[in-house]
Amino acid sequence: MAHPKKIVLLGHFGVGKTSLIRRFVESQFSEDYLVTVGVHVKKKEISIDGNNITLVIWDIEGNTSIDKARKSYLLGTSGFIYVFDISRPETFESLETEMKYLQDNFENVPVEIVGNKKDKFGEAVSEEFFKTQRFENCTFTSAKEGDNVEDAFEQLTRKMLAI
Amino acid sequence: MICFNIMDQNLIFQNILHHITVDFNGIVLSSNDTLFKVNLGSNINDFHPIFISSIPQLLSQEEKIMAYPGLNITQNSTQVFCDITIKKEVNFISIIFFNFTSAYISKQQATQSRNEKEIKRQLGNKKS
Ligand SMILES: Nc1nc2c(ncn2[C@@H]2O[C@H](COP(=O)(O)OP(=O)(O)O)[C@@H](O)[C@H]2O)c(=O)[nH]1
Ligand SMILES: [Mg+2]
Repeated sequence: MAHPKKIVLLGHFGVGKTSLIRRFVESQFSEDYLVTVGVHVKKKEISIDGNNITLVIWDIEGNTSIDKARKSYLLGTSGFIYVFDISRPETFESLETEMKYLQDNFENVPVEIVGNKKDKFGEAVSEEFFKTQRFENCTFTSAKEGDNVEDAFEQLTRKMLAI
Repeated sequence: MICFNIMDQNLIFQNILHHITVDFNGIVLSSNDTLFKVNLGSNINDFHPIFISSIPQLLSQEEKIMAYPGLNITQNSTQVFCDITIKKEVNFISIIFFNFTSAYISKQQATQSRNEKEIKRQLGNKKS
């Protein structure tokens, strides 16, 4: 198996972690919400600039903060995707604290910050709201429509391989 | 504290405990096949992708044992939840699956209604 890399998706419940993985791995989406308990693991082989990589993607139950997640799920991770829901402010209000937690506990493990459900821009929140410095490093995705989902995984993989 | 004699323990764990041994490349050396059918000589990575990253991790770290609660395993389109333990022995790896499906399904149902309510509340708050 060429270069297996473990990725863990983090973030509150209901932000679309499971949906993003489903879109990325199976090209599918469902409106139905089925809560994730425990851990689901999926794999996807990708190729970036001629490098073949096996991504082992861990989908864990959502938590309001990372330090509530099971430690054993997070050990040995090569990269994190931190997901928030653009339509629920509660899911990004402690973004800075969460990033600090990752920096302190997983130094040198790259993180991709994802604002999901971008198809809801204009509904209850404007796209302008996120055009500030605070969100400048975020990738905005829609698991529903497939927008930027591959990009988010690919950007993280590039950071993991430092290419 | 609840005490069981060895006989009882065997009976209790008979249906929930599956033991597999693999070599350092993940090739299955033995399986008691309690929960799943796992072929000898097959690669454990083909049984579940968790091992693709976990076995190299176990082999590269000091700690000889790793435990993961609530691993979701789909076999012949049925879903089971197992707590698993992976242990490095001198020249093989021992993997134990504990089938706690019913406990996890109850947890899932309770969490489902709690989360749905909370999401609804959050979306409601924002609009008002
Ligand atoms: N409109 C919209 N809904 C989404 C999107 N991604 C996920 N959802 C919905 O949000 C709910 C929670 O998604 P899920 O993936 O289970 O979230 P998780 O708890 O973070 O794994 C489900 O009802 C999904 O259909 C998206 O990009 N747009
Ligand atoms: Mg989920």
